Order: sequence, then structure tokens, then C-alpha cells
Amino acid sequence: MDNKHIIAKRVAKELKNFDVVNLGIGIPNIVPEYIKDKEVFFQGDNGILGISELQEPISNVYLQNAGGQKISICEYGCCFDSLMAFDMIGGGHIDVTILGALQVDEKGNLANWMIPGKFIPGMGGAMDLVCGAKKVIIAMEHTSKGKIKIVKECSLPLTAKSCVDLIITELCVLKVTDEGLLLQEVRQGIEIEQIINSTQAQLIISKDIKYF
Amino acid sequence: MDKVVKMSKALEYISKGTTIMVGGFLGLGAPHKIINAIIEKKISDLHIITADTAYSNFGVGKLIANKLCKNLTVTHVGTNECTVEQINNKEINATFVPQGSFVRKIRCGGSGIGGFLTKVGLGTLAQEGKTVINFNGEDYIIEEPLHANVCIIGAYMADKSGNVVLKGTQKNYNIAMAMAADIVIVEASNIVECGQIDKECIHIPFIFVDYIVQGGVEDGQ
Repeated sequence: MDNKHIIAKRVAKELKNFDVVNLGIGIPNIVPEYIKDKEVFFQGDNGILGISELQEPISNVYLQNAGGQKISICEYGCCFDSLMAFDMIGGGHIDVTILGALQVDEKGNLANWMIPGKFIPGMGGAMDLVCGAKKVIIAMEHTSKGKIKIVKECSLPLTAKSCVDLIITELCVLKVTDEGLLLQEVRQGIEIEQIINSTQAQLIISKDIKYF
Repeated sequence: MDKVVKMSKALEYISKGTTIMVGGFLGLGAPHKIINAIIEKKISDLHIITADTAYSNFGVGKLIANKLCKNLTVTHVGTNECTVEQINNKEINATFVPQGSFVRKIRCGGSGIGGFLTKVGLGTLAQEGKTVINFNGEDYIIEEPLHANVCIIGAYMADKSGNVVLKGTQKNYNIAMAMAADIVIVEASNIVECGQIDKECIHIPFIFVDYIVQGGVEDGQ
């Protein structure tokens, strides 16, 4: 299993039956593969609730997810416009949003929408999602080509301040607390040293470390 | 009442420098034929207001690829390498708006609301140039309305008076945009007589629509 699937599988454990969930592109999009035992309602900020079979697109030209992929919809699913989609998001009706990141820091600040002068995709719905969803999970590889992503303080333009609840990587699970980042879970076979060495932020090591 | 016109008539309202809202989300719900006609006529220096710039060969993104856009109000451009390049080269002056604020700004523009308060974007670059106020003990950004000269959207069906039906995730920005421009042009895949659409299934009431042009079948990437 590659890193992306390891992360997606662990993220899936965070979702509860009947959660309303919005997925970002990339690793978050793999999460549905690992929640076969639960009923979770996937929302797309392009105006859809009840996205199904993300991995098996069918040719309905009028149905897309927020990544532009053709999708199918559950029996109970429904479509609506973007005002409704963002009222759901802004009004706190989304239980969990799962996104990638360029940087996350000790205070739970998130940067995931631009690298000045290099990469300017735009924030899309990310700023709305991390402000509005009840729980924000960052699903990402711990480092990017050796470059540290979990930092003391984000140097890239922020998506939002103090918005992240949980960071899940192929190495560990970090919870954002008022005191800093709490290392609460480690992947089997990974040394805590290795996690500390690939993290710039100060880590608080839980007294009751769990393994996944 | 018959608002169906030839493409040439619809294009009379779009000229160099027009501020134009273009509907669609990654091309779904975009007015593909009108976009092609703008490209044929080489109408340039447009101020385009659109959620994303789709792809360089599909949807509103084709206007960017043909270098017809000067100012861009947008939320995401990551799927169109032409937009990224032209922003980096300063050929396009882009303003990025969080997507929820984007659609609410359009709603304000179309419904007589002077603006709204939001926490989205606080402490980020999206706050730049905007007023932040403390209201009931909390900080908010004041977001102002967006309005355009012309709005062009794609639709599954319209009757000749301009009642519009949108299918699946084609609704996206199209309903809000149809209320927020001086002239609204709908490109409909299917045009039917008045009375043929169930009254409770209409997504855009006819008073918002000025002209209708015949579209093709919405085709995916």
C-alpha cells in the first residue's frame, strides 16, 4: 500500500455513520474506498449531496464532483446551486472537511492555496470549508520531496488561521491543541525519532501513544 | 413572448472591455457556443467574472487561451495552465475571492443587498483592500456586491419566454448570475414553447432572462 492509501485508510476511521463530508482533491478523494462499512454523505461544493462510486464514473454529462470528474449519485442524493452549497458549508451543516496542505503549523494555521510567484491555483472553496465545517482534517504526506510541511509558523499565505483539528500523514496522527501539536498515534514500525526529525513544529508526545 | 435570437444579435451586447459573468463549474453549465462566438469575433479586454477558468480547451477557459481576458474575478484557476501563465506574466489582472463569498457577492449584486459580513478570509490575503469591522464583538470582512454588464450561462432547457431549467450540477453559479447583470443571455440545449415546463420545476424565472440562443448538448471534457 502506498503512502496515499495508508493516509486515506487512516482518515476513513475518523468518519462516523451519517457524517456529512466534503472532500478536497488528491488524497481526500481516495477516502471513500475505505468506508464501505459506514453510511457517509459526500457533499460537493459545486452543488451536490450524495456523491457515490467516486472511483467508477458513469457517463451522466450533467453530474460532476467539485474536481470536475463525472460521477454518479445515491438514491437519496440531490443537486442544488452554489448558494445552497455554500450556505451548507458556511452554516455549519458539514461535519467534516478533508483537505491537503502545503504547510500546517503549531497553531493549526493552514496554507494550501498559493506559493507566491510560482503556483497560484486560487483558494476555490477551501477558505469557506475550513471556516465553516465542524471538523477540519488535513490529509497529506508528512513531507514533500524531503521538504518539511509541518512547521513552527506557516511562511506561505494562509488559507485560514487556527482552523485545523487533525493532521493525518503516512507517519502519524497529530491533534491540534491549545498547547501545540499532540502526537497521539504512530504508524506501526515508525520510530518517534523519525517523526520528530521530519517535523519542524514542536511536538507534544502523548503518554498514551496508539498505533495504526 | 419570444426571446429566442440568433447568435449575432446576442453578441451585440458584448464588446471590447465588457464586464461579463460566465456561468459554469469546470465547464458544466457554461455557454459553450457563445464562448466560441466571442472567440470568432475576437472580442478582447474582457473583465470576466467566473468561478473557475475550467480548461484551456473547454468552457470559459478558451477565452483565456485566446487572450481575450484582461481582468479576472475568480476563485480557482489551477485547472487551466493558460490562466496561471497569463497571471504570472501580468497579462491578466486577477482578483481571487473565496468561492462562497464569490457567489454571495453575486447574490448581493442581483438582489439589492449592499454587502455582507463574513469571517471567511480573515487574516489572509483575501482580506486585502477590504474593510474589517467589529460587530457584536466579532471581527468580520465586509464583502461588496458583484454586478456585470452581461451574463452568459448554459442551460438544459428554456421556454421561449425565458423560464430556465438546469440539470444536475449545472445549476452552480448560473441562478445567482442570471440576477446580477444588465443583460442576461441563456444558451439552452433545448428550447420549448411556453407552458411546456412544469411551473414548479423552473430554476430561473423568465423576468431575469433577456435573450435565448440555441445551444448544443452539454458535452463533458
